[in-house]
Parts: sequence; structure tokens; C-alpha cells
Amino acid sequence: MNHALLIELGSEEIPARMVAGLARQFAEQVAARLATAGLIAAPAEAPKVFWTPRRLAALFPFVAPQQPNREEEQIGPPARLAFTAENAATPQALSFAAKFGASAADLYRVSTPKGDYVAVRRRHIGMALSSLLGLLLPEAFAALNLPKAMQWQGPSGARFVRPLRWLLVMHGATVLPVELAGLTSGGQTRGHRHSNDDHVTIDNANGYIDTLKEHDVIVDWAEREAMLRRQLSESAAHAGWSWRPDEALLATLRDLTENPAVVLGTFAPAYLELPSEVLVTVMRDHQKYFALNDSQGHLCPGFLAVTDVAGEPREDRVARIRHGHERVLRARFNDARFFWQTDRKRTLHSRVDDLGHVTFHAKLGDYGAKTRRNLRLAHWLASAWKAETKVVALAAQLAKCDLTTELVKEFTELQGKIGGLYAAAEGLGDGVRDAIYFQYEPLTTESPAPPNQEAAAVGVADKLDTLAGMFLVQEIPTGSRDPFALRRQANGVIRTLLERDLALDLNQALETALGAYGPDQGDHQATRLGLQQFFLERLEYYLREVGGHAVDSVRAVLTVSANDPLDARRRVEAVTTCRREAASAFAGAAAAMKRIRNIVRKENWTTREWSADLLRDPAEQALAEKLRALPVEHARWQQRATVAGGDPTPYQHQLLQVAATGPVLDQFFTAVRVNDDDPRLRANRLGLLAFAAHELSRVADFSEIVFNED
Amino acid sequence: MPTQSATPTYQQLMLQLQSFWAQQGCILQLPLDMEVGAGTMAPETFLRVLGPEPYRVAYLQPSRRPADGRYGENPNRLYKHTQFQVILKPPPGNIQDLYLESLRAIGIAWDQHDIKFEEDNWESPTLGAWGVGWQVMLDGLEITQFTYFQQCGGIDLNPIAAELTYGMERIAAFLQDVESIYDIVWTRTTEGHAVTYRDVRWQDELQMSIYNFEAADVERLWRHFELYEAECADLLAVAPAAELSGGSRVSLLGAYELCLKCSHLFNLLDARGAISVTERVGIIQRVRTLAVGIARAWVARQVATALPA
Repeated sequence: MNHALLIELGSEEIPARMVAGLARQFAEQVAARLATAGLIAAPAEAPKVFWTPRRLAALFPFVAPQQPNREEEQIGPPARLAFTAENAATPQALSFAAKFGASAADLYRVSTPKGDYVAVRRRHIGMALSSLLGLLLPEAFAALNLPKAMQWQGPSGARFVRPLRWLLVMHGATVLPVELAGLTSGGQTRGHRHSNDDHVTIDNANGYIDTLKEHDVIVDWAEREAMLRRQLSESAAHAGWSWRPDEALLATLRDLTENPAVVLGTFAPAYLELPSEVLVTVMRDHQKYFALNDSQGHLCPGFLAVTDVAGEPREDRVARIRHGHERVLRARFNDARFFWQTDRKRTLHSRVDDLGHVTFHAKLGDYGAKTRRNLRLAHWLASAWKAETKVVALAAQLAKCDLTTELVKEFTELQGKIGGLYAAAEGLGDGVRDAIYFQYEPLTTESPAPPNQEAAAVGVADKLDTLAGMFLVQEIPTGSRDPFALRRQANGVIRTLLERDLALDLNQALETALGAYGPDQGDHQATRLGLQQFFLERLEYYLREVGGHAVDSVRAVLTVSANDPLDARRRVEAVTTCRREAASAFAGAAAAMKRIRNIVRKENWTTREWSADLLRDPAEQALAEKLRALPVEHARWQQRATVAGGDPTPYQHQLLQVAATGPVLDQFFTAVRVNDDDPRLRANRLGLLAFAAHELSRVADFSEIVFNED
Repeated sequence: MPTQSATPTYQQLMLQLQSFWAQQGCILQLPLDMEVGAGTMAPETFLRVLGPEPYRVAYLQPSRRPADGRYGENPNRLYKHTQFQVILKPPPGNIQDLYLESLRAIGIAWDQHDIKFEEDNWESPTLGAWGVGWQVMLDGLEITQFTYFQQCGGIDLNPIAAELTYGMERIAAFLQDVESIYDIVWTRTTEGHAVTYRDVRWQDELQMSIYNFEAADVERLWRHFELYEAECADLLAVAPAAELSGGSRVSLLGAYELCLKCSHLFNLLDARGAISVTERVGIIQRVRTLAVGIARAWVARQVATALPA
């Protein structure tokens, strides 16, 4: 009879960030093997996956107790060797049969494309579920990808993220004996730690969820999460407040508890004098509390803690737990307040020299040196963007000073923001404040780039200097390691340029950044090339994934140039629009461009030289004339076109021009023989084609684009 | 608010914790009588976790972190705090239950509180050691670091050891429900007067903060460091040769004490702001070389003599 199969792996507390992934992995690995073994009927109903910090479980709804029996045809020697003239079995045939425990009577003839052979039918008796699990489960377990594994039974023992403590395997109401990771399975699980019940019997696989619920363990993550949301809302509403959403924190707490219970705590309103950034960072990052808003959206003197307790919620216990949490938070807030007050006894400016004692990187020196480099680069950017250079200079000089403050030493994740807040407190003005406050943005995909050009100059300068220096000393990110978050920094540069519409000659910027380092500090040339490639990859990603442009459009545009992200975006937007609105017009030109490219490559033709004197055929003269006219036409068009008039953008116009050369190119290929016998004519035609490819690829390289003819 | 009516004094807390672990078969060692930053650095942990011999030990350990000094003015931070260090090698299968029972033994009815085991892995670059484990949170307060050591001195451990490190001041403040560590009642006199943590330790915190941040002679600290480092390196250099010649007159423990001196001197120099940005990595590496060298020599001797070291 098919029954539900329940497998539960009991563990010491698995880190919250890992447990969901591990539970799903385990269920998938087991499901795949059960299906291969024929124990689950196809199409298989997906297993239910459960987890808490102390257990991973999978419930497979209908699993057979035994593999189906299987018959397999085993082919042996050719029939002419297997049977005598009298149709009796030869010794060869008999020894073949014996290999599979068969006799002469079991032999039969079978026709194959290669001729007649002898065969026997081999019967495989299906293995019982428990025996199969003995093989399957260790395999599934070994296939797990463990983020950080440990051993606890010796070097040849099992490896997992924490020591495994029990195993439960049940098929319907039957306990199946299986060995895994040094554990022998049973039919008992453990309830909540608080109930101290290590012997909770599961009567039936399907009773898993309910039985554990009776013992204060909510195994279903969705249920735990729903409980949490409900309790958070109710507790906050009870005080007339609402909780500040924080999905990441919610998921963490969901996976940090077996039976979550929310407790509302308060703190003295006087602490609200501290910046909300500081208060929220303490609550969220250090204590895993949710912050609360009042009806006006202001921070409240309260917090929501998520506890993990079992049994009846008793008021005295809740009060005791609340008291403990409030005490810890008070101590942390007192520290923060002490730092906030002590730090402000000095100006940011007085801290500039102290930056000489703060490491940036062992090979790149201290933050004093970095500040000088940043200052130079930020000034260069500010001039290019016509931003307020005085604001930029002051902000760049003071931007790192908060690293010497007690508040940032304690709450390093607030660097930049604290500097901005101290700048505001000193009355240095909004421009300086914003530039320092937002210098590290965008920090996440959701947060925006720095809000103005001055802030952008400071932020981009800092990132470019970091990238230049790190690449120079070979701290280059790999697929799995990027300890200095260089990808994020490069992405930040690109997003800042694109979100604030700032043009930048990347090559020049990188040279300027590298210019601040001595020639003996690394290979400047190689570094610049490496960084260009790095930025190319980031820009490609951005235009594709965030901009939503087709991968070949992006490639076509970046092949021409990736040196100015803003310009690249304008070009790819033009390509996307033209492809959408005038695809057929472009298809012809694109095909011709590919053809030109192939010819030029095949002949390895490197020059774009051609002479009008050597043009013989009208078709090649027409092409030359068309190419010569393009820039003139475009300039004339630009004088007339206005953006408000709904005309295409300049790049779109240039692309339309390219599309319009389609017929001329086609005519050229129809009428003109490129490989003329006269070498001068041949050279001229190749030169003309190479010239055409160049002229027609100013916006995008059409040979990269795949047009699907409708 | 504690969950028992008879709140232990600091002294009673120490006695209860020692008593509990003594009952689990732990050797109650004395604290290392040298400057260390944590119980982990004492030979009773660092060297005992190496090699195959089972071991159980528990000891209080005053732990010095010069940079954490606050002149006795911060109610929660100390230059020298007290750890209670437990090593169980190999860790028993019910170690988490044992730990929770130890909490009960010191008056924390843990099942009436919010207890969480939150991921916190430990690594010491100076000792070439790392492990995985948790910080144990009690109503939002971290009270214990619970670590399964995997490597020490760059060597894979077999069997592994579990380390439980309790923060004594924090636990006492929690149990006695005081806002400042200095208000902890250390003990009572025969007349019943409370002797506080302040009475016992405040001068130490104040005067040592002055020494660590202002008075320590940087040039002499460097000279001490270099002398200890050289002597330790010399002892280590002769260690393999001595083993080969069948001699066992090598003092690895002597070398290790010199290494600990270097480590503490590094902390002092750091607190004095005397270590430059570019020097820092290099110095940590120098201390690590000594520590790892000692660990390797220790293991080699165990293998050579097939006796507990």
C-alpha cells in the first residue's frame, strides 16, 4: 500500500541563513532518487518541505513500500552458436543462462538488426523501501551543498553544518530502520526545547505537523511566518503603532525560532534624540528587533522582539523576558548616546590627521592617503560635471573622518551616514552633508544613487580610487570571492552615472585615478585594461537586466564603445526602439553588415582606404555617395529636429540612416564582384566595404544583432 | 529579573559553575597566571585540544583586552573581564542539554526565558584556529560563546573539542538585575554588607586604563616584544633537532609562554596607537608564526612519543 513517507533530520541549531536552502536541497535530492527507483509514480507530487532551526523534514505523499518488479531482457550469444541443428542448447548457451540463474527451458530466440540471438528474461524483484532508503538517503545527504561544514565524529565521519542528533523515517505508521550520518532512525522526534521532551512519538507520517504543534513546534515555515506577521501587527496596533517592515529580518527570525512569540518593549523617549539611523541599526542589526512607527511615520520609543518559548504565555514570564530585552537595549542605547555626545566635542576637520592611523588596505596605505587621492579625483569629476567644486572639496576632505569616531567604530555599517549627520550638526550645509551621507550609495539594488552632482562626484571618486588601487595590487574579484565588494562599487559607479545622467570618459577617469599611484605600485596599463573589462561586464549586465534590453542589442552597442555608460545607454535605447518599430527595415541592413564583416574578416583587410577614381560600377559609386552623405544629412537633420517635436533622438536618426542604406548595400552585392581580377579594384572594393562597416557602426555594430524575419 | 529568589553573589556564581562542571568530570584548573586575551589562549585550551587524548577542563580566566579599557566609567565594558572556560574533548552527544543544565545550576530557569542559539563562528588568525558554533542569547543578551573547534594551530583536530565560554560579569549583572557591572554584589561580609565589583576592581580598571592608553612606554614595549619573539623563535628552532636526537629537553610550554607575552604586547602597542597601518598585518603574522610553530611541534612530539603531552 502506498503511504506517506516522512524523513526528519534532527540537528543542533542550524544557522537561520542556511536552513531553508538545506531543507529544500535535501527534499529535492531524495525526491529525485525515489523517482529514479520507481517508488514514486510519475508525475510526482512535490514533497512538502519543513524546517525549524533544529530539524529538516520532507513528507512525500504517496510512496510505494516496494519497487515494482522488473523484467529485463538479457541478450546472449548469437543463435547459431546457442542452438545445435536439433535445436538443443549448446554448452555456451547453457553457461550464458547459468549466469542469470536460468536453465535451457528459459532460453528463447530474439531477432535483432544484427541477427538472431539467444536471450533470457531476467527478473528483478523490487527492493523494499527501507533497504532502498539505506542506499538513497546517504547518497542524497552526500550531495548536499553545505555552506560551512564541520565534523563531529572524526575526520571520516559525517559532515554537516551542525552536529546531527536524531533521524526519523516513517512510512505511514511504520518506522523504517535506516542508517544515516551515524544515526539510526526511529519513530520519535523532539518537541520544543522548553518542554524538554526528547521522546515525542509520531504515530503516522501524516500526523507530523499536528503532533509537533501539540509540542510547541511549528514545522511549517509559512505558518510560522504568518504567525509572526500577525503577532507583529497586533502587538504594534495594541500600542497604537505599526511595525517598520523588514522582510529580511522577518525571514531570519522565522528561521531562528520553533514557536515564535512577539514581545513589545519600550525605551525612554529621550533616546529619540539620537539619529533614527543609529537607533534602528542598533535595534535591527545588533538585537534583531523591529522598530515601530507612530501614525505620522515617526520612530516610536518601542520595539518588537521575537522570542522562542513554549507552553502557555504567562504574564509574569512575558514581563520577565521583556525586562531582559529592554535592559540590553538600554545599555546599547546608552553606549550610542555616549559616543554621539563625545564624538561631537571635536569637529570633523580636527580628525583629518587621525586618518593616518586608519588602515585602508595593507598595500594601499591609510585613509589619509586615500582622502588625498579621492580629493584630487573628486575635483576632476566636479569640474567635468560643472558641480560646485567648493562643496565637493570640503566633503571629499571630510568624508572619511567619521571612521575615527567612536560611533562608527562601534557601528561600522553606519559609516558615511554618521559623517553626514556630524557635518549637519556642525552646520556645514546641506551640500556637504549630502555628499558625505550618501557617499557609499547605492548600497543595495533598492537604494537610490547619490542625490545630486556634488554627492555623485564624491561617491564616484571614492569608488574609482578603490577599484583602481585594489586592481593595481591584484585584489581582483573571482567568481566566488569579492571580499572588498568591488563588483558592488563598480555597479555603484554605473548606476550613479545613469541615474543622474552624468557623462564620463571611463578611460580618462581610470587613468586619472591610477595617476595618483606611483609607477612602482603595480602594472598601470594592465590594471586599466582589467578595469575596463570589469566595467564592461557590469555595464552589460545593467543594460540587460535592469534596462531590459536584448542581449544582442547590448553587445552591438558595447562592441562599438563601452567607455561612457550614459552614451551607451542612449545608443542601446535607440537600438531597442528601432528594432521594435522598424525591424524589417533593419533586417536587410543587418544582413548586409554581417556579410561585409565576414568578407572583411576573411580577407583580413585592415584598411579603410578607397579612391573615387577606382569606382567602376554604378552600384559601388552609389554606395560611396550614400556613405559620404550620411554625416551631412545627419547634421542637417539635427538643425531641424526638436525633442519636443516628437522627432527621433539623434541616435535613432543615425540608425534609421543605417537602415536606409540596406537597398544600396544589397544592390552593391548583386552588381559588384568584390574579388575582381584587377588587384587595384579588389583592394578598392575591400577598402570601401571596410569603410562602410565603420561608418555604419557608429551607434551599434549591426553584425552582432540577430533579426528574426517574420 | 532572575527566576530564582536567592540571587547568587558573583562569588557564588563562580562556585556554582565550577561545581557543576566538576560534576561532569572536568578538571578544575586555575586561571593562567599570565596575561591572555581569552581563555582560549591558555595552554589548557590551545594545547590540550591538539592530539587524540580526551580531556575535560574548566577554569575561570581573567581576560585582558587593553583597547577595551574605559577608565572604569562605562557600565558595561571592561579592560579585564572574567570568562569561565569549559573544554569538552570530545564533545558528548548531549552537550547542549548539559550546557542548559549548567544555566539552571546557576539560577537561570532557561525554559522560562527566551533562549536562542544564534550562529556565531569563531576564528583566531593569530592562533591559526577556527570553529563553528553559536552565541547563546538570553533575553537578548549574549551570555556564552559555544564553539566546536575544527582547527588549531593550522592543524585539523581529531577528536574535535567543544568550548563553552561564559561571560561572568554579564551573567551576574543579569541575575542580580543591575544596570552597571560595577554594582554587581561580589560577596557579603560576615556582617552582611555587600562588597561590590566596584570595591574589588574599579581601581584596577582605572589605573590600567591609564597605563594602557597613556603611560606604557612604547619603545620599551617594542624591545620587550622583540626579545620575547627572538627567544621563542630560538627555542622553536632547536625543537625538531632535539626530538630527532632522542632528547626531550625542549620546553614547548616555555616557548608558548613567550608567544603569549608577544600577543599581549601587541595588544598593548595597539592600545597605545603605536602600530601603524602597514605594520599591523606583519606583526599579527609574526605572532601567528610562533603559535602555529608551537602547535606543530606539540603535535609532532605527541606522535613521536605516543604519550599525552
